[in-house]
Amino acid sequence: MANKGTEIQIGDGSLHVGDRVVYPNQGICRITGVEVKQIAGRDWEVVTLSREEDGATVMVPRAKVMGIGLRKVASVAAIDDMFDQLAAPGDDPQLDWKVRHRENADRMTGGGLQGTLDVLKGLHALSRVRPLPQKERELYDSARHLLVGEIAAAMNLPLHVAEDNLDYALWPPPGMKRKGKPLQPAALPVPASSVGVVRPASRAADEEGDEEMDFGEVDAEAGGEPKAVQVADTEESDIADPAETKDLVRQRAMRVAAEEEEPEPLDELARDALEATHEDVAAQPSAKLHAPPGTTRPEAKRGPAGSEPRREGARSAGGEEAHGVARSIAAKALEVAAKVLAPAKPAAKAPARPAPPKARPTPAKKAAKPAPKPKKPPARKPAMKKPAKKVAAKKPAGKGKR
Amino acid sequence: MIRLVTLGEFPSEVLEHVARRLHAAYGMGCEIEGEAELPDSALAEDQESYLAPKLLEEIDDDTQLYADDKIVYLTSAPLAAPEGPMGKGPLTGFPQFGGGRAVVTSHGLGAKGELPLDIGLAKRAAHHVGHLWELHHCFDPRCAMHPEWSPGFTQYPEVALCLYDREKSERKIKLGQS
Repeated sequence: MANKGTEIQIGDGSLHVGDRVVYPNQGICRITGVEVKQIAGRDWEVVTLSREEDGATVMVPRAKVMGIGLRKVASVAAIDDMFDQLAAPGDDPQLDWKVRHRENADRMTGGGLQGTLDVLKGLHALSRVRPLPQKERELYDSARHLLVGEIAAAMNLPLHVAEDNLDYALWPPPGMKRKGKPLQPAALPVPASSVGVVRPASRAADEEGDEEMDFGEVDAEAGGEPKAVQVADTEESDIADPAETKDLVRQRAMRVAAEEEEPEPLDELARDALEATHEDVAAQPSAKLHAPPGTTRPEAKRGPAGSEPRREGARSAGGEEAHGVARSIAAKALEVAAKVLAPAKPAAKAPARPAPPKARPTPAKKAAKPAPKPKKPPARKPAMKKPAKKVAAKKPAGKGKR
Repeated sequence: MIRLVTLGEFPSEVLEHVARRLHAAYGMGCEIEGEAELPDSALAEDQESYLAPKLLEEIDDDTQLYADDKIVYLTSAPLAAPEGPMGKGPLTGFPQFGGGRAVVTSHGLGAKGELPLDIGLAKRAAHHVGHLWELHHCFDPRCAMHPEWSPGFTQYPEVALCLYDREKSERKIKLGQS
């Protein structure tokens, strides 16, 4: 626990107490001393560092200082050279994500200025081709953070000036020059559809503002990127980050699958038709099923779902009422069918409608057919009702047992 | 809380628009705090622009700055900053990166090819407030953190953050509050 003074040499002799150093993946630190710490019953000589960003203390075993890539802050000449590279037109981005991931991980672990620069430039070039997946976006941000910190430390500039200068090279403003050579001004990059997302309404209480910026809400729900890209990104990031839990991976896969399998919204008229049939038929079987045990037959003996209401209606004491209901269903179905047939609708929506597609070909045929059609929707109604029937059927049975 | 302090005259509707946009973008309260004066000592050598870092240091302002507060000074005067390795570039504001104060200028807004005063000032302010939350520049033109000189900044006037920046700012805001 003794501080051995500022004359102590650390690592290969190039580092001293008080020096500003770059700790790979951590940023700019200052060496505050060399101490002896007792850890697990052994005395360890550790170099203590203070991270400039937040003052956090980092301790590194003295023998491992060079092994982890601790190095001095780059010189002004090295930074200048780095800007030359940044301003130079870049190579095509590495499109093989496996290679890219491995290379970038190695570069960041190495902690060198050149490695960090390569990561930033590579991902910047890639971002112009397609939106970056989350993991690479994080990597891009941390590479940028490290570079900005090092530029600021090396050239004694405010962080914001360092960042602006970095981007003067990556996105040159009009008239920007580098060593006398005019740089090509930045063109409008391809927007990532994941961007433009506004804060949820719960956080942003300003309703007016939300209304004006609601363009992003849809993007946020959809995950923002084209599905193909999204799926690819999911795969990439899943494999790129093995630490990610299986649950998260499953959730993402389910989300993507749900988006892909989302059924087409029902046609308005088709929905009307469904509702009309649904409500009317709902009353009949449920009334039967709530009758005392014995008055109803077991479900298996009832025969096809569609046939039962008519038969029961004919036998029961309130048969006329049932006929009346059937008539009202038929009337409603007629109305709906007439609505469906009247306007000429695009063929793509045909499957969603209750009326059979045969009736569509010509308006003349459509007008002639309304009479035979109404029988079909009522026949389908019980099929739509089936789940409701089953649920309702279980209740009395359960009660009887109890 | 984001507090707006004007260093000069601004129409009230512009200030309200900026406050609303900032509130919507960061999900935290934003209020117009009042006025202050530009410190003459921050004038640059050309006597026209103000050295932004010096301005932030020497501004005489009574506004209280609590743990998670950010103060944004709005001015119409042109700003200057120390020259970096790429030379001088356009400067629309200057934040204390990861700190509590930023100054934003409306200089140049409303001109040909630029955004109107209210929209442009709101977007610039959102951009520099983002730097106060340690957000870096974003490559997406629709994000408010896109470099302000890039054509995308004027192409997409909406003050909105990308998902990544939004989440990052939320994390920072939570940390600031704790």
